[in-house]
Amino acid sequence: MISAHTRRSFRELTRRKARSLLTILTIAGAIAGIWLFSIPSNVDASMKARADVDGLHTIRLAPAAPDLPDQVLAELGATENVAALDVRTLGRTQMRVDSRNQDVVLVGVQDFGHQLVNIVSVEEGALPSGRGQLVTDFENARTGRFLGAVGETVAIRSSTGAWITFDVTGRGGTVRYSSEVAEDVPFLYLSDVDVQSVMGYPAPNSIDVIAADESAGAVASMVEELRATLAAGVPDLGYWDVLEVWEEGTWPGSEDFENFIVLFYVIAGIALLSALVLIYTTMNTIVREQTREIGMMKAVGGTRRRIGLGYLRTALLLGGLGTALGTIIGFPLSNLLMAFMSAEFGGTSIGWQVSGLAIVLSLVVGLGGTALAAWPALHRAGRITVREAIEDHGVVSTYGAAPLDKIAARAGFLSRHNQMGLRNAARRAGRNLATAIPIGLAVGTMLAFAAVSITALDETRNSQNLEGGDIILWNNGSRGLDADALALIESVPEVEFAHQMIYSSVELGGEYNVWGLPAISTYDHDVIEGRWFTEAEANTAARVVVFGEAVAELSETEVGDVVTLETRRGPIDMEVIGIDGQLVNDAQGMFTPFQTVLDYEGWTTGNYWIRTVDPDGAVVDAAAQGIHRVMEQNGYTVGTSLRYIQRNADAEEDRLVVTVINAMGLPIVAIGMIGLVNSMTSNVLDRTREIGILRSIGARRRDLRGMFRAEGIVIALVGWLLGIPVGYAIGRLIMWVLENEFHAEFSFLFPLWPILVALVVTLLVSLLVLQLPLRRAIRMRPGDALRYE
Amino acid sequence: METISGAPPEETDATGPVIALRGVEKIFRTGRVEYPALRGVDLEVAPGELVAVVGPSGSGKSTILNIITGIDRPTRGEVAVTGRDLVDLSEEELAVWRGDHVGIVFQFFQLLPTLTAVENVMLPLDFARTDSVAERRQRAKRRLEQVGLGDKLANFPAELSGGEQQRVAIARALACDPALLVADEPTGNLDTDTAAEMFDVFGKVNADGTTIVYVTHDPSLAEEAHRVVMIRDGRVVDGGQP
Repeated sequence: MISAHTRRSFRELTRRKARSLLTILTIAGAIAGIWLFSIPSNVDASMKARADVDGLHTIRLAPAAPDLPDQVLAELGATENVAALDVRTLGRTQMRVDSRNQDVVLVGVQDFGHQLVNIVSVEEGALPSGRGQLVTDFENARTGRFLGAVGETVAIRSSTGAWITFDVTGRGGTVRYSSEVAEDVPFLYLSDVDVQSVMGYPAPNSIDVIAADESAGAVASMVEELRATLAAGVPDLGYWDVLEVWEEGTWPGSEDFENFIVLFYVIAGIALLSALVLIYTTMNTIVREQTREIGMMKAVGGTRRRIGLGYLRTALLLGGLGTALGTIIGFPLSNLLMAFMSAEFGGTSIGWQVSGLAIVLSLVVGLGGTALAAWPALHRAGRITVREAIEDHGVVSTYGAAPLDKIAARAGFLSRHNQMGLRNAARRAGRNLATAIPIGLAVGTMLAFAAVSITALDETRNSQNLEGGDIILWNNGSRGLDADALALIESVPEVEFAHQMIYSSVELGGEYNVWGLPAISTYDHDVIEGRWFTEAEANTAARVVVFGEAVAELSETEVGDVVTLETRRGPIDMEVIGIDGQLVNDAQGMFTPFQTVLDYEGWTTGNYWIRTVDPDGAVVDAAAQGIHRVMEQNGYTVGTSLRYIQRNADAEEDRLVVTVINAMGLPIVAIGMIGLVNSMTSNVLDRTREIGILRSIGARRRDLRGMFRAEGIVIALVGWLLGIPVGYAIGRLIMWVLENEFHAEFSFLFPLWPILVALVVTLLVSLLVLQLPLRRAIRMRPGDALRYE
Repeated sequence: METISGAPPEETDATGPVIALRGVEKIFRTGRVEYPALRGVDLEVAPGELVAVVGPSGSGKSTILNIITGIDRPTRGEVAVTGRDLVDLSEEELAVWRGDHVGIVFQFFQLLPTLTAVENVMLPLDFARTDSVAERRQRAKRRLEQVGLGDKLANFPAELSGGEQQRVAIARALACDPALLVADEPTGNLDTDTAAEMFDVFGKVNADGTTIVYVTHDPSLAEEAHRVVMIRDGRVVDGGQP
């Protein structure tokens, strides 16, 4: 048998069904938010598992050699600490997509049937069984870069300029390369003989190694030994890229992912805070409504403890149901977001995961948090005296004494309805503020995300524009893009301006991109300290470098320092002459004279950046075609990257990320709105008797509507007003975290228009959510309203 | 002192009864439980009468007042008040009709706590949308002066005593110059002296021609009425006709 007191606790849930439901939904929103906490650890675990299955390399050496004899490879494989070794041939060329030439990276695999490192597997179709076949990375289609399906053919441009056709036999990939598709170009996997044939390479150019001991010291010794073996066994050895290392516990995309997850924590934290405020409000309302009943229970012998426990049981029931519902919502939501994250950052799809951490946190917050939020109300319930309770008619209050009441009473310029709405909002200032806080948090979250998104998009756009030029012209043949090429390029009518440049990479406690540029280039630098290199320095291949802001911070370098950079041909000393404040390459780039790069790399030619007369796609396409034509007529074999295509792809990617970020804020907005519905329903229920009185003295429906609308609008406006500083603060916080992650400063944008949009949306949603309780209130007969308990 | 007067509304049939209830029954339903509050009430009140409705708790006194004011609808029977058949009116029409013809004084004053005394009295005028806002304020002010609260216009209910709150409630009930004033236990929460003062006001209002019907438990206050209607078990057992 259940005691009457316990039975009462259960019946509280059905007594005000709508409010119980709203409270459960509020808690469910918070719990769903908590499941977001599970995403980072689950994605990380899944990606590590995927990296294990795919045999992600610990290090990669990038030799450029006329031959890699089997004997040398066998020696490399026998090196101490080498657990597995495989070679690949990588090449960047072009493929035909629709009627356009699109850059593509080819990954040549020696033997698809016997892979040890960076194992390519297929999700659909089959691995190539011979020449003329390839596998398209599954990310190619997901990112929209190349939609080719199994059974189709692909034309790939060879180093001779001929187009060679391949059959797509499968769709698959490996985590190392799949993760690059979203950022770069399509990746295709084919036999290394085919890649060498297409690219005109004599031998594999990627040695991928898994270390048995992944500690930094052991890996460093292993690399040293591997390099020594290569140097001894391979004549004319060079390196086309610096050493690539995946530190223990990292995976491709993990760094970007870590930058991103801060948003999850912000969202989950705000969702939790909103829900706790609402639970507090709800429990307060329940207790206040039942002041008389509490008095009665005391009058018939109920102790403070027993009465408090009764309400605690009700709170825990609400918490339990909310937790269950939140789990039902949060589990698929977090898994969908996880799938998006792993695809976006790691280029891989992961299965559904159950998070033990999320379950434990849900229970702690759903039950513990609810009990905690209900505590002040329970405490108050215990202190209500029998006399207070019996004298409570729920109508006469102490309104008028508080300063806020006095201020509200002075708004004589408003209509009576609006005055009453304003004063009623002030009358329940505490509760209405508690409602306005989740609304403020919801508005603030959306404003913050909008600001962060706008800032990120703006910075991306700026950095894209800064890179200058509409076309990058690559050399794909034996004749490099020498200085003679300039006149040919500029002979194309659509070309406005072109200059040489070269990409390189060096190590300085991490790998950094280097841009070799002329003293005056299309790159719009912003030197915040020191200076840019001069014409004289550019002409004499001076060993001077301008660091990106993040490089300077990460390497703790100051202007005037001489740093030793590890190039593929060995260490070189460079003087740091300036620090650039632009966010190109996430501020992790270095800028040095074009000739300097040629000098330390041992190259003779580079690429060209070309600016067309109009950045419009049609003009750029025409320019590219013209350049191809004129260059090939003159014995050059070139490839082009069109910036507008990359920009569009980036913009699409950014939009997707921004949409997901904003979608993640939805639980908070939902909690805010549930709070408003909850509060307005409580307000209407609370004042049912008052509605009866108003109807008795002649109030029409529109009069009542006007009053409650005004009150709802006041609460929504307060929430919106709170949301502005909250949004700014959250936005600043996120940017601060991101700035620390990126080691660069962003120009935080907090424009006016999202604030105005938020105002309109808040008011509209408020008026909308008000409809239901209001409808009920104005339909109630005055007699029923007056008898309402 | 200005007299409290109110011109009879146009619809009121000056020659007929202000209130005419015929065979009124009212059954309250709560879930599966039915409770008959009125079991066939016949009641007439003539213009200018001062009528007290008395009876034990649960006899149906307040229900009769609610039926008269259109706050509740009868389950069966005819209800004509100020010449209007209330059964045919919608809730919205009833609200408008009440604003024009009926003033109600509740047991617990039922003032709106967020409005000052004068604003509480202005409220029915606002709902009726009579005159300009300034004129409404003047009328409300006069009403409060008439009940002796000219110096408490800007006070909120919480800043008034029980007697003062009830006087504001009466001023509010009279704001639109109703033909009928209905009061449910108007002195239920007042001390004896304040209750007597209240009845002085009622007397003056009635003397000016306003019909008043009030419910009371207090036999001495019932004696102030021209006629006492006795209710028991949902029926009028005495005094149903003028």
